[in-house]
Amino acid sequence: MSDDEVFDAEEVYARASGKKTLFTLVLFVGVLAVAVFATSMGAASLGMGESFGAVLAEFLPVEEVSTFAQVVVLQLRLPRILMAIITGISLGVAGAVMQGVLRNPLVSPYTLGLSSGAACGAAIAIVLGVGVLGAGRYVIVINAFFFSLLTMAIVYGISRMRGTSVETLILAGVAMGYLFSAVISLLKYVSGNEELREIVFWLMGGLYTARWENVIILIPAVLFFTLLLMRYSWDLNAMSAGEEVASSLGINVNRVRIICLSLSAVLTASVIAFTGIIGFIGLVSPHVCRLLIGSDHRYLIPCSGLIGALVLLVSDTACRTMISPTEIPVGIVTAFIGVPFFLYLLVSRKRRWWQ
Amino acid sequence: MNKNRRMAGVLVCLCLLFLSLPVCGEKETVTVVDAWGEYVDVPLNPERIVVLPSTLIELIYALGEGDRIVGRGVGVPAYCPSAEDLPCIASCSVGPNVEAILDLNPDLVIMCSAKGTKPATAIEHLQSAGVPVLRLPSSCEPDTLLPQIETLGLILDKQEETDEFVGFIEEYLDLIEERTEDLEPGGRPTVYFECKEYKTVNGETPMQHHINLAGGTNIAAEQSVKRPIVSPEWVLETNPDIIVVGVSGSSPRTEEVMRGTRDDTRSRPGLKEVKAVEEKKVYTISKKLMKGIGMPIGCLYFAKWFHPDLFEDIDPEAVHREMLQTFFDVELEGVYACP
Repeated sequence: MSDDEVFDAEEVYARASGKKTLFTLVLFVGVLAVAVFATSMGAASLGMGESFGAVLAEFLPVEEVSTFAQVVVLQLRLPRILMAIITGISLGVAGAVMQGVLRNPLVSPYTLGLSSGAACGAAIAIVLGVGVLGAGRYVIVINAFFFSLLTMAIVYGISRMRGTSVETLILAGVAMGYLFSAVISLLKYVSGNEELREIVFWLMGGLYTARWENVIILIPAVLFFTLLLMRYSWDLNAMSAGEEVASSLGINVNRVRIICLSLSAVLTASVIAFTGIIGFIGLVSPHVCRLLIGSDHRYLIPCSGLIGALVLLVSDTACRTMISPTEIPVGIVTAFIGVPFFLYLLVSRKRRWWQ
Repeated sequence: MNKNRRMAGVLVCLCLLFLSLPVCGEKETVTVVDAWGEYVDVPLNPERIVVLPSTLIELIYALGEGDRIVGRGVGVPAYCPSAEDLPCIASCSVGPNVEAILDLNPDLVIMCSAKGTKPATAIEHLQSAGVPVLRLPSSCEPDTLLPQIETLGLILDKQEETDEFVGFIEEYLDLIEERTEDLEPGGRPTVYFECKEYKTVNGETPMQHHINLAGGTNIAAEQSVKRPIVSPEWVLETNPDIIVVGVSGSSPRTEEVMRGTRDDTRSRPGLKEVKAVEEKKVYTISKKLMKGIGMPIGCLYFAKWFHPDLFEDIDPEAVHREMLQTFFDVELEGVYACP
């Protein structure tokens, strides 16, 4: 009798995890499919055949393709599509990990002050140091990256003083976020017209600056940190049952927390330094996944990343093509596509996704 | 001691009273046209003027009356170095500071026609405090430059200087128009103007006027957003004959910066194959030459770049230098355009 039960449980577990694996695979294939589709979409009038031909010609010396098609597809569309995917992955993964570590559904890179920190760094670079186009671009990127990490360090440092309770960490993050927003407002207040416009622009975020040279740096970094974070899935699962439970299972809760938070901070900082603030995805992708497959972090982390990639890629393709050749800032489209989708899941699903 | 101080206080009060008396008296006024085409009366020959837009400060300097300005907005025009020491009484995001303006005790405040509640509130406060405010059309619009000079000439009572200055500008604008107006559509090269990476201008912006006047065709004229970000692949497909990059910054740039910007643009992956890059027709120009007093010079550069054969005899830099020497008594410093 009891043997049967054990057997049943195992089977149920196998079936459930099989489903989740399948879901992850479906998402992965979905991202790939959208990416392929996006390759053939754009302002330039290239047919599907020509677009794919341009990609194929890179690997197989069979087809003759015009240089125009090659430049458009390989130099302009592909880096941007990849940028959308890795940005979505990092925001989704970072969001899932941060929500898991802090056991709070409202946490995202945005609420923890990371985005405001990055924006503040960028604004400082814009107001004090912009000028040379080439150097200027990297001054902003480096500043944004640095300030974003600095925010995390400060937030963690503050919460350390009070014994690293989750609440202090989140509140310190929110407070730092406000402080940096105030600094941005101050910079906007004192800056001239040109700089003001530049700051506003950065705050809107966008992927239109994607280039191979950035993408090449970001892909390995994002993959590396994502895999590293996935190694902590079991720890995060245990922690979601409560700190005491996790500690009694032999997990050094504080250590896991600091490692996971810093890794996700680096992950987020490295992409938003290039793209500007892209909100919403970090907050919502994990919830979408929890609604669909539950909160096992082994699946939640990769799925959340993939959902992030999917939403951002769809939004960015839409914003490239809706009123082309004029582009719409991606944050606007992300919200218009993502919010209804999320609200639909929120009301239609019976699962209690957050416990 | 205490008594002395009280005496001094009384004296100061009396002085202030006497000083303020003439202000209450009848003053001569002059009727001018404001930004909305309405006739308004403003004091003639004001001695203390607060001027917010830097382009208007420039115009007043050009008429030789720069020392009447007692307060300025955020921008300091490059040709008027002495304006830097003037108190700044506004900020870009918050608008004019009424208290600071009143503190300067101006006879006239000149602003531009920027929309929004902040300038409107400031104007209400200033007018209720008895300070006349004149709003002139935004100096970014091309057809407002000459009327603006005329208006300022009327107010400052400087007819001769006004005529000379207007004549100088008109001469060159007419010269460009004469040589480009008969160009066939096919003879007008396609132009892609960029304010920053892939941010361009549509047909409703002042840039449209400059490009059109100089005999070019703006490739983004039909876009629905005024300053849209456009798809790189679209620019590549449109294959413009000429690319002009606007370089921002309040001070003139060094040649290195202008050249660097140009080379950056040329080597951008999506632009390498464009005709303008292949034929080495990528130019950088300071945005200072796109509005106000710089506008005619900017249009000369455009004309020369779009139609080198038609404007062989014109050296925009020399005209620029001449304008600065004649009307501002300063030398041309820094680089404003890079071929």
